Amino acid sequence: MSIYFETTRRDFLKTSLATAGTAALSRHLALAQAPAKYRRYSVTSQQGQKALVSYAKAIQAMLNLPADHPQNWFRNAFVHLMDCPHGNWWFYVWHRGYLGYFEQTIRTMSGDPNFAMPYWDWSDLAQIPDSMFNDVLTPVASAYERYTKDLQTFTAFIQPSLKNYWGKLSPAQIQQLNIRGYKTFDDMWNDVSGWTPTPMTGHLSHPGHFNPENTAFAPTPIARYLTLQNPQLSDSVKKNVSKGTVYSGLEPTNFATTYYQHIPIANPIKIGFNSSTTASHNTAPSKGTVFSTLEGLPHNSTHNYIGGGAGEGSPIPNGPWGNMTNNLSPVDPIFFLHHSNMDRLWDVWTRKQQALNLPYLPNSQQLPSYEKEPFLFYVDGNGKQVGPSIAKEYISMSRFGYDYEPGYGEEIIGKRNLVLAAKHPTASVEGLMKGNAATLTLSAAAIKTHLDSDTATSLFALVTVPRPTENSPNREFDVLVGAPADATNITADSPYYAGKVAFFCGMMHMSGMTDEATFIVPLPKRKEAFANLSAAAGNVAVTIRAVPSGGGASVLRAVTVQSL
Amino acid sequence: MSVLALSVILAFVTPQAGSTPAPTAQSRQAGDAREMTLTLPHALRKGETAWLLVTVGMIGHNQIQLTTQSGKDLGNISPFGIRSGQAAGTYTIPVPAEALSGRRLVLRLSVPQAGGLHRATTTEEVTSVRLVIQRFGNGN
Repeated sequence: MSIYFETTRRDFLKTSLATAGTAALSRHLALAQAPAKYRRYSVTSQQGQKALVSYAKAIQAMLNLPADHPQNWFRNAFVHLMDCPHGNWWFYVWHRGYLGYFEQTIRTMSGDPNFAMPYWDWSDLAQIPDSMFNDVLTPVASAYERYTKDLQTFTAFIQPSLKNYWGKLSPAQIQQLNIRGYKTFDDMWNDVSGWTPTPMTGHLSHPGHFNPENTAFAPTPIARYLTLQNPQLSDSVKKNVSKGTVYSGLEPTNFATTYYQHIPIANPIKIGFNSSTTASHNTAPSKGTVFSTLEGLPHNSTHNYIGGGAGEGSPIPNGPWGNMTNNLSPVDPIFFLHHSNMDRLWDVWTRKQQALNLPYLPNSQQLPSYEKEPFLFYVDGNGKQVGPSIAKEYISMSRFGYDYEPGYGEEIIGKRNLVLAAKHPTASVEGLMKGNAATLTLSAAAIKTHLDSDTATSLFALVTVPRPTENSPNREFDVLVGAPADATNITADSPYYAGKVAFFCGMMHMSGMTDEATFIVPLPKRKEAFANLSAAAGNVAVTIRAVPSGGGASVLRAVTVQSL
Repeated sequence: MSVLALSVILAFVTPQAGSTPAPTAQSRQAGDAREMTLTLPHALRKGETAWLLVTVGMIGHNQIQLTTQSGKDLGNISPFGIRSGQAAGTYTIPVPAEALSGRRLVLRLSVPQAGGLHRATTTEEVTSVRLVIQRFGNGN
């Protein structure tokens, strides 16, 4: 079923102009902001590729640092293991801080004062960028082997310095770790080694067992499962990172998701841009967690597939898994390009909200709790512990002075909905009526654009049909595009089916009401609806009808197709 | 300050404890997937979108694949950051309008296996499925 609504042409034009004006003003104001000092580019751009050179240089330097240095490559990953939020409303803001300080470290370590972390826009490139298989940009490189050849080697290298670090943590940091479930150092290390201090069923004489599900450590050879020869995300992950899914994830207007899971009400959920609210960012995701679309789908599945998570095309259904499947995922350098893209999408969502004059933060009741959440484990670009800081400090990108080269998702900014926020509506094409059916001559290029986009619907029909009367009580009509004249029983899964238009007020007529109404219906995104498209040089003749849903001949009064 | 209008419960695989049981979706094993039919209370109206709320139990590193009866891919649930022994939470999956047949969605749930095979999910792995309508309004 397609999106549709009732309107009149006059109302449509009035609303369209007003909304377009507001959106244009918002965009103008946004453009008036001072440029950022640093710009994060797409990794596929020339600037993004150049940044990878500095990135690799810094990684090598961080690998060479001793284990007791806070900017050692693996020590940096432990900041994530010890403090990262997932499945709650601090997901974006915590990772913004983590990425921002990491970017400072890369500048220091590379000697490139202009470095900015590139982003991997998987909606445009559903594979690991080729450059990310070069040298230390992949965790299977030989440079990692001296530290991560096996668990014994890794433990000998990093555990003493981590124990020393743990012993110097502040009471506030210990409190955060306790919330996370780490009462002792061993609790945390068990998530690295996979040691589970409970016996397996039937082996009560043993003190515990190794559980691959809880093993964050990944030995060098299997640290990343995708290769230069096989860099593609699977088809199912491609669906999760597709433009359609990402666009949907940007649509919610609430900041956080609220799910009244156990309350028997008809409206159980307010889907938000962020995952569900929790009392602490260290609350581990579990039964009550609701993942937002962008965190739950593209974020999670990209992580897991790179790390060899079970599933389609995966070589290892039962583990052991690579780095990206767990909380030591920052060991894989692709982590930061992946999260740069997530951070970019938060920026896109924020600017979308601003353009619509909608809130982009939690509501006034929730905001204090959100803002004062303590983030206590960051390390800055000089290798110093940042010390006590709170979420509020990381809401704005100005904290780190960067912005983004536009990538996928910008399209949503300024669009209240697909129709009303049209930036440059093109000339409409009016249908030539003959016997309650219309023939329109549409540009083949416009149709191809409409069909090729897997997200936006660019062709809409303004369909005018009669209101129900005593003699003709039909209230619902199916709009058909390109259907054979003798076709019957056209259902919603037909390629010719554009949508259903309906009157909700029966035959009641209010003062001034006309005997017909106009609805906006997206044209089908199926090529069967546009016969001869492939052979058409310039224009394609398209027929449109509106038939009563219960059957019968077309009652179409008029139709105009608008391209947005 | 409030969302204009929200959503409607459509179906549970298993009713939640403490709640009024909603109509139970007809769920059956169909080959290598569990199949159920969910129905919207009304066709989507202007500004409305359909979403699945899929609540997942303890599945470790397994995944849940969601498709329509015709094989259209709706998404892939791949838990991340879940500690061993914990349920994987609820996932919000957008449902494209073209995946609906009128008010109905025939949903297939499966667990990808090695070699490109799939098996049907169990009721422990997917504990609840709801199809809801969202209308994103003024935010918060």
